[in-house]
Amino acid sequence: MIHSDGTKPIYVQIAEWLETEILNGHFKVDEKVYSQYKLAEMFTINPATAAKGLNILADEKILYTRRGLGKFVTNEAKEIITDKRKNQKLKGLLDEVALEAEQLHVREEELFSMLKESMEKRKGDAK
Amino acid sequence: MSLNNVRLQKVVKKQSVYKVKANLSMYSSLIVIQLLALLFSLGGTGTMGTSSVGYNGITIRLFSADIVIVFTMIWGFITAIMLTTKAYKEDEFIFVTNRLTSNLSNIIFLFVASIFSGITAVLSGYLLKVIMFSFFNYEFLHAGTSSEFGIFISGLLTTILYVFMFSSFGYLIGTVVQLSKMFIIIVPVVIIGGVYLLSRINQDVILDIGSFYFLESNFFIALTKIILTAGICFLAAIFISNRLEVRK
Amino acid sequence: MNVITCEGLKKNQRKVRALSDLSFTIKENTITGLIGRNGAGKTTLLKILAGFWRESSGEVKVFNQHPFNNLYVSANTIYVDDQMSFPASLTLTEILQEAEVFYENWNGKLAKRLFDYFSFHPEQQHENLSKGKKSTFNMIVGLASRCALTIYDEPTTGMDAAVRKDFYRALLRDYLEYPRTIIISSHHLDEVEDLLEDVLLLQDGSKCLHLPIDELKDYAVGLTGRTEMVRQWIANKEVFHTNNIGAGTTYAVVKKEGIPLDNARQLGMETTSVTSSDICVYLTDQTKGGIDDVFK
Repeated sequence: MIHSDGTKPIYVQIAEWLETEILNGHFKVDEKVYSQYKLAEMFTINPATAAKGLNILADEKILYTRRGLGKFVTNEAKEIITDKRKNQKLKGLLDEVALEAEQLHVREEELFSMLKESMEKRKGDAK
Repeated sequence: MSLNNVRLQKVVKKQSVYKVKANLSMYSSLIVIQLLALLFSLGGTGTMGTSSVGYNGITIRLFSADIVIVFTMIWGFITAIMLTTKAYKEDEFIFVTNRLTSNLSNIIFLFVASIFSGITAVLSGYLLKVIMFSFFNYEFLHAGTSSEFGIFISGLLTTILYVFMFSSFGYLIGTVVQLSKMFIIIVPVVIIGGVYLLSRINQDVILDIGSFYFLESNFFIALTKIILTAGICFLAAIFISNRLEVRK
Repeated sequence: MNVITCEGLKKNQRKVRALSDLSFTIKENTITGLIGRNGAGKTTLLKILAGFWRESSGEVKVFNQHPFNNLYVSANTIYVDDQMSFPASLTLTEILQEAEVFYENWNGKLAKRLFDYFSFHPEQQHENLSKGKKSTFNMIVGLASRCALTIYDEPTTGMDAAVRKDFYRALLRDYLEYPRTIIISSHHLDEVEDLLEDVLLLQDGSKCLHLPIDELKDYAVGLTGRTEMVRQWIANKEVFHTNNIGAGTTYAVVKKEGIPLDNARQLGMETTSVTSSDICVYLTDQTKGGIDDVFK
């Protein structure tokens, strides 16, 4: 789950992993998430690194802190995560697609139809 | 984080016990050496022969543990040198220690070793007499020092302290060698050369040194001489080794 | 609180300078990785910190005391490496018993459990163990002693992959349970980096970098693109490494801070992240082109 191959810092991976857990409903609103020590033990990482991951989520208002008790999921957590992933991850992926298309001289219409095709394919798979 | 304060005496005590356990092989070497010395003594350390007309003549042999004691002193000397070698230092610097505690516990260990080896050396004298009496049919003219308990104790004490003094020589020499490997050559050259020079200037000097330590008739003065000499050697060793680096 | 403070630390060994002007501090209860090439001065530094060797000049403080020949530092520090030797007359069990006598925080239960887990024989002797087994046993002593300052100098020498993994996990779990200051020197940064909070990178006896591991991962970025373009683009930047791959393509590693990466991407250069261990190698390389320069 956690890769130390250097593609992404561990604390970012921890934050993303927790986000996914929240999205999947493993942590409900106002529920306490894993402590930095629990995370450190789970993934064999330094607790300071785990704390950094938790702090990212706290900064983004996905988690809130109760003094001495730990970090808890906020009301808006899911919304923020979905929004963020839409705006950042999806946008980033699209940027890459645009760059690749440019290098391959793929025209706009061609690209759109390719996208449509793969969306339809997924729909078909879902059925 | 919890930091532990340690007391010097406590560490020295722990180290002394550790060394007595860790250096068990030294005791087996002691036993071998003393048995060997005992074997050499079977021929007697001195002989007087008389023969006159009409008699077959009588031979008086002197059996004593002197050779055993001399061998034990050499053993103390070498054991002390071994304690100062790199291999032994590495074993002890694994655990809590500094140079001072290491030296103090070594001295305690050498003292314990001197007591042990001194007792066995003196007792081996009696063993020798028992062997001669039971297996070789010698008649006793005189049983030697066993007669008086006071003399026995003072003999035992001086033997122990002689071994201790020789171990202090070894300890000092070993420590000096640790300073620089050059001393492996320099030390024997200085000692042998010194003895040679002294004997050329005045032959009696060597004998004087010998008699200073070994022929002192006053028991307490003898003890003081031995203890002072050992003390000076050990102090010098402590002083020298305090700046030595370990685990090179 | 700082457990270790070094200020202008120098160490000469005969005429060779092993450490020159080293200054850094290590905070309480952190795990620091000491990284550097062979001969960078890692062991020299660690032996000075453990009180075995004396510094030539400069100031060094461990627990606010001068470590050389210091009983207090010795009582609260353990130095574990593959050169550890124990008296030949003691069995492995007896060695652990003796260690317990000397170290006040000794955790006998942990020692026993690790001893059994790694299937040591109680009557075995240390000198008869294989290289990897020796390292494993020394590691048990290091873990169980629970010293406020625990120093591991290349602790995994000879250990197989499975034991290494176990060791790292044991180290971390015991640290979580009983926090203390730990320094690990290693050639394998990629193996230990997840455990670390900070990295201290040495080069030729002086400090190259000292920073949190997360920042090290973000320290540099790799650029791949047409040679002329890469050359031109990196001209006024801090370059750690360049390498020609194939005809007309160059890979360059530059310091990430303040670099307009979007601009690079727009120009058609590919940006990649650089692993921390690669960054360390590039930073401590003598020549910019690495081993390939030898074959030019």
